[in-house]
Amino acid sequence: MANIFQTMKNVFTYKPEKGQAFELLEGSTEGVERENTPEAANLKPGSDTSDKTEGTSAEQTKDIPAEKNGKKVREKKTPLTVEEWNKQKNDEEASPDQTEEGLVSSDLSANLQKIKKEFGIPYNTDVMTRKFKIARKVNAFITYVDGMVDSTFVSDFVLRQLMEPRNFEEFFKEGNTENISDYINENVISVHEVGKMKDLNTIYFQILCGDTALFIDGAEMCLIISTRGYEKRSVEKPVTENVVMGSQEGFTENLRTNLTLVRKIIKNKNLITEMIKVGKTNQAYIGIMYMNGIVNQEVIKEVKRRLNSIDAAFVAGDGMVGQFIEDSPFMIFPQTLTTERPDRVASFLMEGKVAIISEGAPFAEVVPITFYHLLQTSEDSMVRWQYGSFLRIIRVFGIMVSAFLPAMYVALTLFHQEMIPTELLASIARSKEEVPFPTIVEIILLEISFELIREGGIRIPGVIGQTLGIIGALILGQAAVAAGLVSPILIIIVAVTGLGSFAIPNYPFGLSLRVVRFFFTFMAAILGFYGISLGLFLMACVACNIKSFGVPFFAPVAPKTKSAPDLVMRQPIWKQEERPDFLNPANRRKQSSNSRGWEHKKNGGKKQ
Amino acid sequence: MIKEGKIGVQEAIALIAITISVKVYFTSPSYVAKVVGTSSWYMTLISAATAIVGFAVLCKLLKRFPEKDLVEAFEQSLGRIFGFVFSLVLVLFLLISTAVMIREFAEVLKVYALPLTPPSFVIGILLTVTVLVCILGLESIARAARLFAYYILAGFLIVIVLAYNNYDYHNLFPIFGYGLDKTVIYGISRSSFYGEVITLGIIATSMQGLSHIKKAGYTALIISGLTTAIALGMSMMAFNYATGQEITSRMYVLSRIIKIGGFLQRLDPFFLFTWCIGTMVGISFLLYCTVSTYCKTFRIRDLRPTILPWAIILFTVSMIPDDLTTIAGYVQILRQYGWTIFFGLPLITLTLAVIRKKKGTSQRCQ
Repeated sequence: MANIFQTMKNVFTYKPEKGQAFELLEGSTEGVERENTPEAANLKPGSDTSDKTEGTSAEQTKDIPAEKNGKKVREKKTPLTVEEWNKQKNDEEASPDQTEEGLVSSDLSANLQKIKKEFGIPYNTDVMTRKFKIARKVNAFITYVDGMVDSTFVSDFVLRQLMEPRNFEEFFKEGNTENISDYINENVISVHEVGKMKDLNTIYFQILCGDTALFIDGAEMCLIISTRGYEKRSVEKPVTENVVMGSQEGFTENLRTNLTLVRKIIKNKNLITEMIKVGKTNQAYIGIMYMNGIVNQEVIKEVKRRLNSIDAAFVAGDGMVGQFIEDSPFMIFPQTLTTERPDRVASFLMEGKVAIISEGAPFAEVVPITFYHLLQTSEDSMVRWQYGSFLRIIRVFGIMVSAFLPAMYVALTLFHQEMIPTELLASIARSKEEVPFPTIVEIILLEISFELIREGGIRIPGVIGQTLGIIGALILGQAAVAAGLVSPILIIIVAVTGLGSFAIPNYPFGLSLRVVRFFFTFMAAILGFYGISLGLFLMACVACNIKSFGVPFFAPVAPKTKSAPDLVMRQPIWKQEERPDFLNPANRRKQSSNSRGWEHKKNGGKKQ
Repeated sequence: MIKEGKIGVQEAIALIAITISVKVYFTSPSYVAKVVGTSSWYMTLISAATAIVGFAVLCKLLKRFPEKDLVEAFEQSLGRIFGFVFSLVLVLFLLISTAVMIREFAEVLKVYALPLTPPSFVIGILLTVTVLVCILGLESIARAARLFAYYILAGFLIVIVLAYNNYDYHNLFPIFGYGLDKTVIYGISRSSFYGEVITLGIIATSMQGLSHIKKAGYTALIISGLTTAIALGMSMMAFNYATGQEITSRMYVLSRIIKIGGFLQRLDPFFLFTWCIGTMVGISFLLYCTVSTYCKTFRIRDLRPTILPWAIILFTVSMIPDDLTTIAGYVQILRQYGWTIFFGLPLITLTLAVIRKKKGTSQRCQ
């Protein structure tokens, strides 16, 4: 109740406009072709960070508090008193990261106690500790999460090697002053990735990620051995974005697999993957992929700023990440593009967009996007431009049908009967004779039934789902007509609307149209075509107000920017010479004007 | 200063051209047929040409006061008191124009599409949407106008083309109507049909320089002049001048008489979309301009809180006339004498600025 009053109060209370939102299109550098900016200096071409998870994450963990501290400084405008300053200093000193409490101890039993305490052993049965002697001489133990590691790998390439005395003959020779951790790292463990760490919090996180931590008596360092081997789904066909022509690979729930799938398509040293950790409790990694030298650095900065600012306990999957970072959460239309196709992500990256790939869901989010991206599929580029354009026109028709057909029917039958040809009008009138409900109730009943069948069809397990959905709809429709609950023409209307909505390639966009359809139907019921026009105008203005990472939703049509050759009608692929202007990419040219080089006889079609 | 956002040339053209052209769907064409007869189609071109001259005066004024809008130009040229008075007159005139347009729309809609719906409900719901849209800002309205521009133009042209079998070019004769002199005089005095072009002066700071304003203004006037002339000419060919005077909305009835075979007929409700959306763009833009001018006059930094009160005032004013006949009378008065406000105020301001040697300075130069 209090919330309702608060909302009412907010409606009638004046609030000054917020500061300038992030703008990409109207920026001062609009239209200026740029080289790699100094901001990208830390990402020099070739310095691919994708395989340096540890280093990147360490940097990021430093970045996050820095951002937060910056925020704190901004918030506190008055100077601190001496007492406050002392308190703050004491708090900082008491922080476990800065004291020996937070570091690996040279005493093995102390380390073991800390591990047991932090992971709740023995109550927590997932975390395993295994004590042993290195080369039958030095006490040590390993810690790992059961199920997250490849146990055969741990046994064969970690324990066996460490326990074998012959591997340490050099080390125990007289006069050897080498540190045991370094010796093991360099000579004993034959694993591709081994790191040395001191900070216990980082070590805990690595253990949770599936690595094995090796603690050695007397050593103030811990060795983190990459032994990740949890169960994961293999690469399969995409479920929501099937195509006839084109790649048949889809993302999986594993972040590393997803990044590799994209990297497999773009074999370029300028493809950068940065890692950011989000979710305070579940600590999920998010990969930000972009093409250095193509992407606008402002977009990268904005993406990182938004991701770093997420302050939530649990973030899993792109759907959740998208909701945290989108510009206008109260708008009905999606402002990030969700795809489960690596080839699509690759093509977006080559256009100068940014992909955000998370752990836990077989999807990637692409930003910034416009309305026109929601109409496109990867198949459009795979087929000849005539077919691609035709398919898109069909999809636009599907969108129109999905959003407006029930509303048009309501408006026609309630307000504008003169538009219906006489024979059809008589037929509609006859079919409605038996029906006891008004048209609007009839259509809403049937629409809700259809949505129920659709939702139920997804939840029913296995292949029965779809079959039952279709049969259910047929039987239900037939029975409803026979019982005189709905008119037969309405079944056709709802069925065609459903077909139209299935033609929409983007699932979140399809969902938004399913909601909007009810709004238009309601408007049609109260004011006919005039009502639909009002709804459409309002919806268009609202959509024109949306921005996706600084790019207006209807760019490049409204506002008009330099024409892009790939909107609804698709130009031939060899004519798509430039990247979209509204992205302000660092490099606008995608291909030369002479991309069909073989046509030029002078040089025999050789690349110049 | 109010943050109104930035709009491009094409958005501005769409806004102005739609706001002007959509009036051909209302009662004006019938009245024009009454006063100038068969020559109405080129009379409107004379009006457009006069409006171009009026707009050129506005451009001169804006050139003299660079990076300033019309309200600031009034103030700098005429001083605070007279500038304030001029701005207030402009606000009131815009308010009345918008109110008349809303009521005219509601009445015509009642005649043809929603005979049982009370005009107050039609206006109320239209203003609710308009308020929401105005709160979203000028950028949203302009972008929506750009988005719908081709669709509205296509809808208009489809009506014109599909009604081809009703045209009789003999209906355009006698070519001089009731006399060339009458046509020219009416053409000049009815230039206020295109008067909305001066709203470019109100939103001048949202445009990127005078060259963009000029390009947008002249192009919008040419497009709206041509579409209006085509609408008047074709509807005159379909209905002779005697019948044309009696029809409330000639364009609407033109879409109604389309008949190509047994199936393709009575398409008028379909073209209702074109007309309604065009009117909504126009009304939203005019309300925005009214509120913007008011806020600039009274130096209110945020116009959002004033939109709802203005909409209520607009609703009240639009409900004052009794019926369509009364409102049609007001429309003709506005069209006949509106030029004195739309083009007269900038002309007086420019003349006094020249006499008093008042000139603005560009921030960019400094």
